[in-house]
Amino acid sequence: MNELANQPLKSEKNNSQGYYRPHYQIEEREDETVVWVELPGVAKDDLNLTLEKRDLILVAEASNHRPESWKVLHRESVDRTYRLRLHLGNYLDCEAIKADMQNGVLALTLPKAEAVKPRKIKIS
Amino acid sequence: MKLVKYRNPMRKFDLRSDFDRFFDLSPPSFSRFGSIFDWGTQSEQPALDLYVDESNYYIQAEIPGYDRKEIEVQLERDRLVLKGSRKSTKAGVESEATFHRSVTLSENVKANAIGARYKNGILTVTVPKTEAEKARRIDIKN
Repeated sequence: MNELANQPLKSEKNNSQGYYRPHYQIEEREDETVVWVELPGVAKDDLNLTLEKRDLILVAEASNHRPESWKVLHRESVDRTYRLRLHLGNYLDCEAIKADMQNGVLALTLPKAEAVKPRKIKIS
Repeated sequence: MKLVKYRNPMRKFDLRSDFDRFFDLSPPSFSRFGSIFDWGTQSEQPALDLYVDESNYYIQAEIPGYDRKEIEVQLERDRLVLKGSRKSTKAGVESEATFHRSVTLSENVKANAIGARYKNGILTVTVPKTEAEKARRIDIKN
């Protein structure tokens, strides 16, 4: 549990109300944290990102990638609404979040706050 | 350097329902033993959907994160193979991901007119019906 508390990002434990938590990966870099979220079938316009205090909330609909005239013969995928809530640690700069959507993967770049970035100290 | 991976168990294959006589889906390889043995492979069997309308069959696969150039759609006799591989470096660790699924096509399709497109992480392959197949619809009268 302690380890979880030390992570920069925490996501909510469970998805209620039929929401689907997308697959995601987090990469820690020296001066930023990058989160990759897999959202197949989600167009840029269907993606909703909001920041509530230090919680980043993602809601995305992935159901409209086929015309109505198509009849189903066999289905393994499901229409779903993705939802992901990430709590951003204090040392991330919430004001400078960048989001980029490509090929069904959202890349969220969260820069570290200036105060926690590694910096060189001059020796006098 | 930390890399956290989250895989939703619901992504797994669901039970195969009765499917159309036109298609024979290959079962994902190793899926029965996937939880017991680690085969050391990153290969994924993406969810596959089959649709039909008046003139075409459509095969859709969820493969987010690939570049168009990393995806291959091949016809091996009557077997339509969807596969791809991509390399990525995250947190200084290089990794390769691959996917592979195949579908057997019936004789009633125009194999030389198959088209494919990739958008928002979804691969859609369009397989046109032959004229004979299109005409096979039978109207039911009162």
